[in-house]
Amino acid sequence: MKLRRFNVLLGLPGVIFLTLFFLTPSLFIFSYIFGTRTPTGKTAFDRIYFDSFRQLLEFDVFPIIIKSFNTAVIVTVICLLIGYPFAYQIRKFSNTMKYFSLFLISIPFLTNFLARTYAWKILVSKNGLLTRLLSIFTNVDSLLFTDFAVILGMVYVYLPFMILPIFSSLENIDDHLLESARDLYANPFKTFYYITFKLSLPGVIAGIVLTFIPSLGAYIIPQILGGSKAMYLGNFTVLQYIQASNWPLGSLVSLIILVFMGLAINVLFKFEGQKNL
Amino acid sequence: MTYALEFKNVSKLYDKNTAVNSLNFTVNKGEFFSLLGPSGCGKTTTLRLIAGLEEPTQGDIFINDKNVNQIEPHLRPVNTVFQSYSLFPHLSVEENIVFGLKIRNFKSKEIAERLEEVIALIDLKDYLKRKPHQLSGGQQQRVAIARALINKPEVLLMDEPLGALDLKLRERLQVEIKAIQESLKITTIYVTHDQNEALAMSDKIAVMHNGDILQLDDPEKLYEKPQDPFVASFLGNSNVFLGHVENNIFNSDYMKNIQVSTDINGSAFLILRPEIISFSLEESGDAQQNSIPGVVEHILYRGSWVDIVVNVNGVKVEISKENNFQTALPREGEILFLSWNATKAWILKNET
Repeated sequence: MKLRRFNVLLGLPGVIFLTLFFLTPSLFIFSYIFGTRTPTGKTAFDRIYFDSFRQLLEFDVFPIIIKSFNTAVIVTVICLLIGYPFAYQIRKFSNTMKYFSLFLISIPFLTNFLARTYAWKILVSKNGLLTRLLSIFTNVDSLLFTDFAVILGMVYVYLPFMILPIFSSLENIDDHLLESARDLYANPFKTFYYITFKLSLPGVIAGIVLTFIPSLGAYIIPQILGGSKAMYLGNFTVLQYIQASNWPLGSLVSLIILVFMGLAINVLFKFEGQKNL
Repeated sequence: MTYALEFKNVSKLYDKNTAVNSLNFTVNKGEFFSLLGPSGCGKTTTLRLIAGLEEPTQGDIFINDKNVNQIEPHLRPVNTVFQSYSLFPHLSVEENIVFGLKIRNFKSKEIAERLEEVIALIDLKDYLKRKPHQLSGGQQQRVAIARALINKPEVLLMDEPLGALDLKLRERLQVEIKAIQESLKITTIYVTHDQNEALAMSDKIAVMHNGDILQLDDPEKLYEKPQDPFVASFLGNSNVFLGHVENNIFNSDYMKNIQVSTDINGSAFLILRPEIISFSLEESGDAQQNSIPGVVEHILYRGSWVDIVVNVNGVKVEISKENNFQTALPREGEILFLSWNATKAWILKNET
């Protein structure tokens, strides 16, 4: 009993921190949904307004939601398709190569995120290295301010978040299990599917969550690589808060993003609890 | 004649290190065959070669007279019980057991029937729905055995299956495994470093050392008539002395005029099992008996028996005596006369 009480105490700093700096601000933000923007740019709360919901329809936000969602799905799928085989391969390396590879993956974290995104801007701009490379195959002038550039930038930034959890879960798989499956009539493909893949699912799901969620709410990458005309949920929200001073609408879009993320995570965790054989 | 398993000149090298060295042996159908030896002797490699988890560098392996060299592990009619159990952690006990059938798309009716059969053989009804990590070591081992047996393999491979269990449980499972093996008449290759286990369970034992089979025999012959000094010292406790035999008389620097019964002449080992030696405080008058004096060095009281280490002219001789609850034990420092029947000592020619 004493130990259990101690365990509760261990969780307390986190609970206090999240309550003060996450839960309370979130409640503030969501309460703004029921305010309305006054001509001076302030938000009025004198009664419950539903202006934000009306504006959501007026502004035609739904195409933005669909586009952001699609982009996040595409980015996540690409990261998974690149990240899983990559993580699978580095697991098979010798220890030196393994840790060297992990070090290489972590190098981008040493550079500021904003600086890296601006670097991409140069690569995809007119006469940029990547543009020139691609112009060999197709007739492109500049990749800058295209959806392609946004997806490329997001894949670049979020790929490590896919690789690392998958690698970690693959690393925990005992090689004897694979031999055991081979011994029990599973060919290499079935061994991979029923043992390796199933046991790496927690890592895959963590990777998907860590890639999908930031992609859905991304702001800086669409802003820099997508340009001012490219509307994604992230920069639409910022636009409402900063330029338009329309806090109620910004808050409502934030809530929509949060609900989307919650639904996505829920689906993923249901997937994890599936039958294994 | 069809052998369940045959090795013809099988060698396995890892980066020029020989793991197994030109092995030749056959295993009959239904036989309980043990590979016995210290760690690093090549016994596990031999087992992995049979399972197909290693490829022989040279030589041929036959299962039921069929060369399996080119056959991948999942297509070989063998199943392995691994030392670490290797149960799939994400599957329940039941899913683990039926894995080999499910993977081959057996009909669910057949799977259910086979599961029934296995459960009748191995008691694990109470924890079919549990995950492996919720089971004790002994329970996990039973699941691992059931998972192999349900496939009705031509050859069952067991790699030190009881190595991680405590003594009592190990002894109980030895009896269980042996009973199952006999009732199914399933050819079993059993890898162990525990000589008592091998002696108690096997029809045939191959004693391995440094990649070679030193002797392949039934348990009695191995224990009573070892053909190699390593076999003599590895199986059970034994006193091995190097000396010279001439006309049934053994002589060494520390033991003179020992009567033996052998055809061998020349450099030889005298092998005395601790249990054939008796002791008394006075010299034996029996001409059939050898009798040599020594000083008691240690006494190890084991309960049902007593081990006594006696120093004979500078060499240690181990004696093992049943505890009869009556005779007073000798004391350390006391002089004892050791005696044994000349026909019970074993003489082994020194080949080197």
